[in-house]
Amino acid sequence: MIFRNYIEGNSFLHRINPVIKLLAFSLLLIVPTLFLDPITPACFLLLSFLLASLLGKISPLRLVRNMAVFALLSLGILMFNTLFFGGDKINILFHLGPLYIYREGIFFGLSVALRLLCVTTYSAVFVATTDPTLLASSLVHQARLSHNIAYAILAAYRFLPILQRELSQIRDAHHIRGGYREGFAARLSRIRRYGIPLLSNGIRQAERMAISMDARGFGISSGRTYYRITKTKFSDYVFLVSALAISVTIPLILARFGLNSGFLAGVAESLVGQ
Amino acid sequence: MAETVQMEPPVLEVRGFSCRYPDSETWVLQDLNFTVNRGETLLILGPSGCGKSTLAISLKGLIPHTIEAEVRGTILVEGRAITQETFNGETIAHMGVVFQDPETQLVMPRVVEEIAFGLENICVPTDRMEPRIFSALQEVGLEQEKMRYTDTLSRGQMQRLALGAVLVMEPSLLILDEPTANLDPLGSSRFFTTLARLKQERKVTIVLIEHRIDLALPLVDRVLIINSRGKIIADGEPRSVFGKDISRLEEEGIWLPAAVRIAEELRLSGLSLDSSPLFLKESEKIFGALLKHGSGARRENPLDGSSVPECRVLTSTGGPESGKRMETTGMPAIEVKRVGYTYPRGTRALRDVTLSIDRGSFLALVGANGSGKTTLARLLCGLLHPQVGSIFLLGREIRRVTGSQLVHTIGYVFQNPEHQFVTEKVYDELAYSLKRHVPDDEVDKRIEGLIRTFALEGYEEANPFSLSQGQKRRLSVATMIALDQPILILDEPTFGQDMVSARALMKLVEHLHKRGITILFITHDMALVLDYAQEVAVMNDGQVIFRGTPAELFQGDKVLASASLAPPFEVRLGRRLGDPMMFKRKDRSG
Repeated sequence: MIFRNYIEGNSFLHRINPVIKLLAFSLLLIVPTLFLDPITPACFLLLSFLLASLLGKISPLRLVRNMAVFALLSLGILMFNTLFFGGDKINILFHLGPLYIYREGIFFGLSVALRLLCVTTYSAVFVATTDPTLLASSLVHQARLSHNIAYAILAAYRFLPILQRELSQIRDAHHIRGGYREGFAARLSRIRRYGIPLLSNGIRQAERMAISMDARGFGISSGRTYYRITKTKFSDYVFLVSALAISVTIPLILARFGLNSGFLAGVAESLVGQ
Repeated sequence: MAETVQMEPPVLEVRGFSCRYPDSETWVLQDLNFTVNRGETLLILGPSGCGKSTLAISLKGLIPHTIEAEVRGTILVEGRAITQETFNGETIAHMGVVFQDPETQLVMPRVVEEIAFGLENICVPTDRMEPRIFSALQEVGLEQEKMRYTDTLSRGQMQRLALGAVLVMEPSLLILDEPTANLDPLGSSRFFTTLARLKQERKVTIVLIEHRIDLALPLVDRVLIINSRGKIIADGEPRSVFGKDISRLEEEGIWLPAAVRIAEELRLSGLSLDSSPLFLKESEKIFGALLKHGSGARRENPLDGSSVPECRVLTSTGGPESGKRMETTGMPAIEVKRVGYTYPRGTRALRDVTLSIDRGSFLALVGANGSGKTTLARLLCGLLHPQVGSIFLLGREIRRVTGSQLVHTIGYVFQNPEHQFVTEKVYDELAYSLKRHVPDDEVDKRIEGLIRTFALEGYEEANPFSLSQGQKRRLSVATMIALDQPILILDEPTFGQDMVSARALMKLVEHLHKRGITILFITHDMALVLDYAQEVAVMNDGQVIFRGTPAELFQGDKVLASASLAPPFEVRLGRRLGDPMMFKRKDRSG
């Protein structure tokens, strides 16, 4: 599960204040999605891997493994758009029997797939280098989020594996009673039949957790203290400013060579006087 | 010292306390009156569903201040009533509660954060936390696990963490709601060792809610018994509570200390006993003298009156009682050959398991948590597939058995019955497998039979989740033999059961066994092995390290110790008196 893929460490990225990191990464993740060419997201994708391995001490292989599902999905998008491209088809590259492959198709497929990959990698790097408890603490201290909400998020994080175990128990229960069938229709009816007990068991478990929190005085006083406190350091701001600088510089350089497209590309081009 | 104790107000005083939930006619707790003095350990016993857990959260003030319920009477903590005004951080810190389920009471990702959580809630300054956290971790023996993720801990460790997480708030009163119900014997005994040390060193006051008591008993100063209608029926020192009128307690479904139960059985068999012992040494003295005196040189089985040979047969030949034994054909019911299994995440659950179970066997599978018992059971019923080796069910390789045939061959009763209910009505629950595999006109007839056998008359339309613990358990067994499966696996069948329903259940299982069903039951309860199993297999670290009769297993401690198990009280007492099996229970009525 992508949400629970925090990798223990003490790298530069690990030490960046979580909220600042969230801001910086959001920037690096949003900018490439605003361009319609494949080159911009490709550059940002490359950057994410560099960030992960140089500043986060996370090997590219590990990163790929953490986001394997999305990598496959992107590949699917690329294939689909390449084969069944519906836009203006001008340049035929080659054909396999009745299937014609157009340059525009590959171009479009790549741009969608790479943008999706960009969103995924930055999220994966963020999750891998951010201790959930520190994130919660930082959301309270730096982002002024209510601590009730922050701790509810943390409890939900603890709750995920419990829910997962519940689900596998329900699946086993059906299996053992001979109620397990293959096929699409069976799959659909499973969602309904598993959903109700999953929900009712989930609520029961959540109730227990809430009682345990109450019993230890959660929400009893309006304030609270923190065992792990997050502060912002000079290096956090350096990191944020660098991220901003990079996410502006990459499109500008690409625009200089006329390599990107989309509305913002026009803006960038006019800025660099192309 | 004695005077100061008397001068002080009680830590907890409950006066005329009653409680009922919204939309409910019946009072869960009725007119409770009791006090707990400083340094005292009070054990609260009661059948399942008697409102013990409601009491735990009421004492804490969660009822009615955060959970809605109608209450009468007062609860005074350190002489002060808990009201909306006084229900604050200080009151919360005064009382620490440890709940039954280890997993759902932990809320933070890491061990150290879990401990810190309470301190944060009551606004302890950050720089004063560390020493308190350290000493709490030390008290529960988790210093080494400080930075670990809570969901990687064993259940025993989780429960000690939950204890540490309340100890850090320096409570004057600890409320423990069945804290060891979900732990294996090793985890439970460690938990109670920790408690004993706390009681001795920190003089904490403890309210312990339990329904199995032999491990807890050495700690207990006073016992309070609540019946199924939520009323107190006994309050006093263990000796006086268990000294008289035990039959009433038994009728209420209360688990009795093993020594008390043995004494009662001896009394019923006509021997005269002035006082009931509670602990091992005194039991040895009293029972030893009594048996020597009462039956001379004959070594009579005291619990059976007549059947000396039965015990002998068991000890000498190792075979089960001949009368009960099923015809065994040459083909074993289950044959496991050199099976290995590793979970996708890399946990090697089974190394090299070989085990053959004859038809008509009644076998107990025991071992510590994580020894591979449940994995083996899941392989047998097709929820997992062996990666190495092979499994034969009634002579057929499991890989060649279709899903539908498997369902007809083997039933698997889950540890927690709630986990296996898949419908919203008792009738549908029983009909679930039947409808898929049995002609329609036969379904109703079969269900009728099952309802009768499992004493569920009148509940056909009820929601399985609304049943009592005992009914839930019976229903879960009924659903698993609905198709006349010849093999039945039960995972911790007495989990969460009070004494009455646990015994009723085991009687039912024995009945099924007599009908020819091969029984394999997984358990942590060694007394259950002693009383019911004909054979035992012990697992440790993914291997079967022992296979034999209970008598053979209980002869020495070597096998048990290497599997982190301990013999039950009955066996330890029996050994001291010369025969480990002498206190095997016989249900006269059955």
